[in-house]
This record gives sequence, C-alpha cells and structure tokens, in this order.
Amino acid sequence: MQKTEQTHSKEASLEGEQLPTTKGFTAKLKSVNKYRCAAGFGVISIALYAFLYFYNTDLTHIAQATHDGDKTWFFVPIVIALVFSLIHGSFTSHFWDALGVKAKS
Amino acid sequence: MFNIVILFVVGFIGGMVSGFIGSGGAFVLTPAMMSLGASGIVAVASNMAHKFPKALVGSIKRHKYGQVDIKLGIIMGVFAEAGVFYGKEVMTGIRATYGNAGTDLYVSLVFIVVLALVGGFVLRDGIRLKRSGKGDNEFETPKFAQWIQSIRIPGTMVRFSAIDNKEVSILFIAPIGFATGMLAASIAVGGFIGVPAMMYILGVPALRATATELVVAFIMGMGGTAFYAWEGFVDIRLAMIILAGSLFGVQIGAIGTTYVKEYTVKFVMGMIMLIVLVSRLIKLPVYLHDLELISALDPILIDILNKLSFATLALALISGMLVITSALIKGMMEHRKDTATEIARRGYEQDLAVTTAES
Repeated sequence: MQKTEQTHSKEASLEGEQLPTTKGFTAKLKSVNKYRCAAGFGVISIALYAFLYFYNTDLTHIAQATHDGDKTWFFVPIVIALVFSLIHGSFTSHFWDALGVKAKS
Repeated sequence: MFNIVILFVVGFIGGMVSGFIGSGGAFVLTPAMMSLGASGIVAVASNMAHKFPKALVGSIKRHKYGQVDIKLGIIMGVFAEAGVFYGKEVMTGIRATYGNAGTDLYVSLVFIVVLALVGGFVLRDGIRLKRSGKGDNEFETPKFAQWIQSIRIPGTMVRFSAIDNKEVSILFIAPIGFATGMLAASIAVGGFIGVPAMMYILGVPALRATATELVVAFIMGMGGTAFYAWEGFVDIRLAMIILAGSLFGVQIGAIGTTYVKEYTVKFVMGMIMLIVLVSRLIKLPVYLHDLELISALDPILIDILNKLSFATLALALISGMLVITSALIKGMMEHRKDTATEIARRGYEQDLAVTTAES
C-alpha cells in the first residue's frame, strides 16, 4: 500500500515534465520530424534549382525582352527570388537544426 | 562548374558575415562576379537580387531570437530607399563628368573616409568593452545617444523596442537612413554606416542594431532589385547560385549571435571595415593613375595592385568567417557543458528527493 503511494507521488512529481518513457518517445519523434523536414525542404529546393537549370534559356529571354522594352514579365526575377528564399531558407534552417547547430536556448 | 562552386562558397561566407553583422559580403561578391565574366551592371543587379531574399531570411531568423526592431527597420528602410536613389544620381553625375575612373575614385574616397573613421571607432569600442569585462546586461547607452533621446520634437517622436521603449524623433532617423542608402548606392554596404549610427546615435545595442539592419537591407534590396529588374539587368540564375550558398551562411551567422556578447559583434564589424580600408588604399594609386593625377604606372604594377586589393577584400570576409565560426563553436561547447551540468544537478536533486521520501 505504502509502495503504491510512493509510486503515485513519484509520478505526480514528474507530471509537469512527462513520464520518462513518453519523454523519450516525444524526443525521438521530434528528432525524426527534424530529419524529415530537412529532407522534404531539401527535395523541393533541389527541384527549384532543377527548374532554374531547365528553364534558364527562357529566363534569359525574359530578361532580354524586358531590357528591350517589353515590361510584361519584369517581376519574374523578384518572384523567383522570394520563392527561393522561402523554400531554400526553410531547408537551410532545418539542415543546420538536424546537424545540431542550434541557437542558444 | 568551378565558377558555380566559387560563387556558392563566396555566397556562403558573405551570408555568414551578413547574418552576424547585418551587412557585408557585397563588396566581394560584385567584383567576384565581374571577374567571372559578368558585366558591371549585371553583377550589381544580380548581387542586389540575392541580397534582399538573404536579408529576409536573416531578419526572420533573428526576429525569432527577439533581436529585430521591425518598426525602426521599416522607418530607416524607407529613408534608405530615398538615399539609394539619390546616391545613384550622384554616381551617374560623377560618371558623366569624370568617367568610370572618377566614380571609382569617389567610391574609394567614400570607403576610406567611412571605414577609417567609423571602422576604427567601432573596433576601438569593441576592444574597450571586452577589456572592461562588462556583460550584455550592463549595456550603457552612449552619452550622445542619451542626448538624442532626451530631445523632444512634438509630432515627430516614435517609440522603439530596441531602445527599451524610449522615444526618438524621426527627424534623427531620417538622415541616418538616408546616409545608409547613399552608402549602399556607392559601396554596396550601407550597413557600415547604418549599424554604427544605430548604436552610437540612437543608442541601440549592437546585437539589435545588426539584426534591424537586415530589415533595412531587405527594403533597400527589394527596391533596388525592382529597379534593375525593370531595366532587365538581373541575371536571376547568377543571383540564385549565390543565394544557395548565402542562405546556409546567413543561418550560421544568425545562430552565432545568440552565443556572443556585444563586443564580439563590434570587434568583427570593426575588423572587417579596417581590412576593407586597406584593400581600398592598395587600389588608390590605380584610380589616380587612370585619372592621370599621378605619373603613369607600370601595367604589371597595376595588375599586382588589383589582385592584391581583391585578395585583401577576400581576407576581410575570411577573417570575419573565422572569428564568427570560432565564437559559435566556443559558445556552443560552453552552452552544452552548462546544460549537462544543469541536467546532472536536477537529476541529483530528484534522486535525493526520492531517496528521502523512501527512507
């Protein structure tokens, strides 16, 4: 009876934090998610650079046309830069996080 | 392929420095692109197109650490944009009168004056702060900034979180922003004026000033990119290759700021500025020669001076990278050690509590 009470009090003291088994599982899950996020954004980032490679002639044509006076697509470089910053920025953030390079908490 | 690797690496180092001190990198990237075959205007435009997404990512990252004053950044950024356009007009006027050598000489003179005065002051302050052994909690507002903060001009006062929610007149922020933009239009690194001005005129702590400068750089870069994109000068492929490396770097630079003290930021900034100053001094005879203000120089000597100047610029970035990396590694190791000690202490206390309860 006394032993049961002690077990209960031990669990209660850990209630604020989580039980060791749950804590370990959450940490493991977070760690797996961390790698998945890095890999996911990495794949999208590579896809974006592949897009840039395959459409590089079209992008050059757009720049040339803009320079020659047709301003229809002048915003394309700005949109590309913004999209890359969001996707590649997320990838690089998760990349360093997965490697353990994190800010001081 | 080799060129891509070079741009990626230079982008990475430039990004790291930008993430840490809020600016920098552009002074090496533009000549690097030109040496790889891009024309001057395309190099400047593409550099601008990689700068604003980098500043965006850096400012978001540092905002998460509570270092950015968005309001101050936006106000300064708006005035900086005006400064950029005025600076471009000044450059165009000088080019029309004295040619390319004239603008080069103007840029070098601006570099030398700003870097010698401001860079020397920032470095001296960083060293003084380190020697005094004061921590971040003992931040003292400079006397001049205290005076600026004490001036009340009705209808112009704005409250900023970066200076402990004190008020400063927008009339003092306007010229700082404008000068930042003018410098950015001349030497591509407006932060060499913007950050020290925020620190010593407005009284913003170094870590917050460098983080807020990223917002200013984003606004300036966005405006500049729109301007060059309208003219069709942006080579987005070139810009995105540099961005690929610089976004890796900017994350490291931003993370690094969470492990260092105020004086490290000042030290890195002052050091980079003074090394860049040396680079400009090395190249000064070449510009004077081009303008026929001194006797003709041997072409071999001109080549040597050009290469030496570029190598010194690269040295500025590499030195910055080394100091940031070592500060980051040292900071992380100390933090891990402290965390391990804390966990061990807590574990011991918990065990002790359980043992006491059992007995």
